[in-house]
Amino acid sequence: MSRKKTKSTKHGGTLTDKAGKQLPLAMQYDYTNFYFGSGDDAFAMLEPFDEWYKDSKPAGYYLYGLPMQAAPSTRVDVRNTKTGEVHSDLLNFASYNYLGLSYRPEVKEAVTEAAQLYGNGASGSPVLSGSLEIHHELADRLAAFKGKEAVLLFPTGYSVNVGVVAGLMRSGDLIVADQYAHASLVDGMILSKATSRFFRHNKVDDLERKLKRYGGKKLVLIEGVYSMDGDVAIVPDIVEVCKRYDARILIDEAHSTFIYGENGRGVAEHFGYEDEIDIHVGTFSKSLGGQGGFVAGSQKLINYLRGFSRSRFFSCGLSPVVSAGILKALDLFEAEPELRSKLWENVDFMQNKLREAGVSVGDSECQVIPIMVQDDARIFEMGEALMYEGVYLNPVKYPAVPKHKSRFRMSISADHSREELEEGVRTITRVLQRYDICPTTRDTITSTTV
Amino acid sequence: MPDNKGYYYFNNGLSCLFEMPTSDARRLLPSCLQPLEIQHERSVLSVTAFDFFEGDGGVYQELVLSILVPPLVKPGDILPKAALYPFSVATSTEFGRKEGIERWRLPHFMRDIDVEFVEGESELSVSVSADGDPICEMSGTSHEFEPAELLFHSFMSDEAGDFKSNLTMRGDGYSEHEFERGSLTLYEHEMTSGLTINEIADYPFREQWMKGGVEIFTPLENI
Repeated sequence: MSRKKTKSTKHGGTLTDKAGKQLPLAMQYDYTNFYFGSGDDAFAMLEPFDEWYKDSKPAGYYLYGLPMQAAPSTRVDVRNTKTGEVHSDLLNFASYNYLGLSYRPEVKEAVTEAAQLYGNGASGSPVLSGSLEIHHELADRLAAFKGKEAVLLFPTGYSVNVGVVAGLMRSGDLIVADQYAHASLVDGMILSKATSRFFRHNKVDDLERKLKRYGGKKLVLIEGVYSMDGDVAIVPDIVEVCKRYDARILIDEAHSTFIYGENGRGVAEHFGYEDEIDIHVGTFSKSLGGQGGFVAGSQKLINYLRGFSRSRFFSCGLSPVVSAGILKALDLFEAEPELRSKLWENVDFMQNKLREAGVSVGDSECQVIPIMVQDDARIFEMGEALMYEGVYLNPVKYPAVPKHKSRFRMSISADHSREELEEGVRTITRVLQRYDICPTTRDTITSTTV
Repeated sequence: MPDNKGYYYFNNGLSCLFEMPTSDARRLLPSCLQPLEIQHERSVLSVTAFDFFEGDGGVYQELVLSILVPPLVKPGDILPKAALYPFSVATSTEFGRKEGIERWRLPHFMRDIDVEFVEGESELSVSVSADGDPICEMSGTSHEFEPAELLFHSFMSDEAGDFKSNLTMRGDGYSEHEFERGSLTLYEHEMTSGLTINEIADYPFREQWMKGGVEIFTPLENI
């Protein structure tokens, strides 16, 4: 049976929201529309992008990169670049400072002392003059902590993955990455010129399908904790498949080092698979509150990467000032195991409270908690409402995550007090209820009763 | 006043996007077009099935295999939702095929195909075969249906040159999501030649389903 013909509409476009209201054009496009441009001018997309951005920024994109006025503690002042006003004392769930170490007085003191001794920067590539005594001390400390023969330091977390993957793999080799692997791993794949494949997130049968088609050198890339969903790699199953196909494994533990495992060495330690994994990557910018990253492994691996990791070779060495802060943060981490206990208590409390309130947090198991909104059209509006009601959270929408999987990415810190967490749940729930994203208290009681 | 546009009214139009090897996409595209890459070495295969009930091609079903490419945007133009190059098209009737070849210069499989749509509450399945030989089976699922009007650029290329048509899809209900719930099975067949089938994802990263819609093609313009 045929349906009736669709009537013509007068407007030129296009999508409507759930209430049937036509969306502003600014919200119908996104960054993906401006990636490829036609014509012969390398600046061809600048003007159309600028036109779109002028409309889109006040419509919500301004929420990204708002200038914070002081340290990323649990309460922050943030300048609203749309209105110019400063939102004071916002509850901060946006920073990575998982153990609250970035602004500890001891860290600040160590940083000040290092600045007196070394000055600001390393003033050279680490393979030339930019290698300082403090770098060697930090690398040795990390190698001992990770239980590995050696460690190589990099100026950013991004440069570790790019440098390691492209440093090891060559044209004709095979790299298989989890589909949610970080952009730095993907960029490493591109730079390596190796054949690149992606397997469905945490699906070992798909990984096996990809591995079995190829001979030659193989490297599999996974993360300990995935940064958009807060779920964990199923390390034992992945290792089993990789061993069967003689594939080496790199695990990026950016969000899990100093958090997971009996000693905080990460998800690999948590599962008891540290020796089965060949390359261990970590960062200093998350739990230790600094900047930079490292790769840990065998001495032979590190010797090789020292010569072939171009992202390190051709960058200035890690700042000695930051290095001193990281060393002190490492001291505090080792001396105060209660920091991790407190973080995990906070994680359990927050996850339970949010779930009880009917807020969807996906498959998160840790301090990275996605507040699933799944409303691409209104997430910016909600982000704005949260800011005005006292909570600082970053919205994440397509293309950073799939369509209709928009969310706020929440980071929990050991430094959050119980009162702050409770206040956060109340505010988030109140805002989401207004948008019918989670049930009202009445609904919750009814459904629980029924 | 006739506007020289082509109008094709359909009950259901299901279009799912799958990752495919960029090397295949490059081989299938004319030299004037480049494939989109959504991941390193991964381009996009669009598989679309229509169930037309009225319009310039009459009543027929259609299967279209396309590769997504960058749109051709001139200053002041409206940005399209996407741009595509259909490299393999098949229809269930000769009349529909003639319309596609002569008017829109689309590359066709030259025999009639059999297309079976099975519509459930939130899933649409399509099976396509020709003379008993399977070509593809695809399923897509819905999220929320809302009215929509979407602009695409469709590119065509033959010995006469390279062309573009602005394609508007307008529908009473349009659902789009990336929940990876659908599926695809492609078979070795003349229609799928040029595709390395075991390198194509068997699930869509995006599922687009339009109900009660119309496809409107503007006359071809040389590019």
